[in-house]
Amino acid sequence: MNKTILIVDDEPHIIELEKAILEMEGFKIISAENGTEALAKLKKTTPDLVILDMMMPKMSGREVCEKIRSDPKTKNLRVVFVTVARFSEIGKDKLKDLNVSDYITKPFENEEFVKRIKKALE
Amino acid sequence: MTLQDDIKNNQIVLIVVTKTNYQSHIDEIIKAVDASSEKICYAALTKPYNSIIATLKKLNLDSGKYFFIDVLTSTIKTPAPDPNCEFIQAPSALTEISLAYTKAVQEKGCKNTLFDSISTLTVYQEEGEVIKLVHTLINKARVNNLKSVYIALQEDNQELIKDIFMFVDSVIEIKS
Repeated sequence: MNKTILIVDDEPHIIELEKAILEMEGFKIISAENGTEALAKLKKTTPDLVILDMMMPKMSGREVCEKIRSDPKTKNLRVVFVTVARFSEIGKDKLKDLNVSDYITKPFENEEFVKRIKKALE
Repeated sequence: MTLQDDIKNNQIVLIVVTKTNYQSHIDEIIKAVDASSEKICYAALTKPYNSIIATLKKLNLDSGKYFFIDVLTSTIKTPAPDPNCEFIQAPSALTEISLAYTKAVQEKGCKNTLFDSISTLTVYQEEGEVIKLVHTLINKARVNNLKSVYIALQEDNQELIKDIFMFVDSVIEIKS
């Protein structure tokens, strides 16, 4: 069965790009344009992985990730950050604390993006 | 490690202070930043820059080594042009703040910037926009090998503080 990925990004064209790339690899994609919408979708469905942007209005990717980890239903979900954000060393430690599988910095190469998403799903 | 050591040894520092004894905390931070660089940009986000000059005088510090970014004065009156200060139209004008920062580092030669207090901007702009500004400013500082100190008020916006935490090299909490 195809694995499902939830893409969360406030920029629709980024969602479309990531969706197109991952659908070509056979993944089923659902999406949300903000953290609130993402958390609502996670109440109804459990994807195999969540791709989170860091800097979104209303609720940052870090905050969404904390909420995912605090909910027993979603606490073990695989999460990957795909973001323009450059994390500092203590920021990277925080990502480890949040049990984030990987973080991919935009801009990215499509091939590398797919490779790392697949690795996060192993 | 002292406050001064922390500011000296780290490129990007977040200092979280409480509202209680706020001014005495700020005085200590200003003294530590003052000792760290020859030319400093003071982004006055909470008070007009005249008030900051009075504080520097009180602390016996040379205001001549400072370039100011003032987000408040223009909201009250039309300020007289001042080569040592960039007046921003309003605290919500985040792009203007970013451009003023670029001017401070490129034209005025500022090596360290004190943002007092970054969390105040969430009164005027959505938190997501403020964190984007902070991320942009931090990237500019890293690219140019410059230092920055961000002050945030503990009581203002916890989520903003947690997000800034992701991009800085050191976090100092000053409790009363």
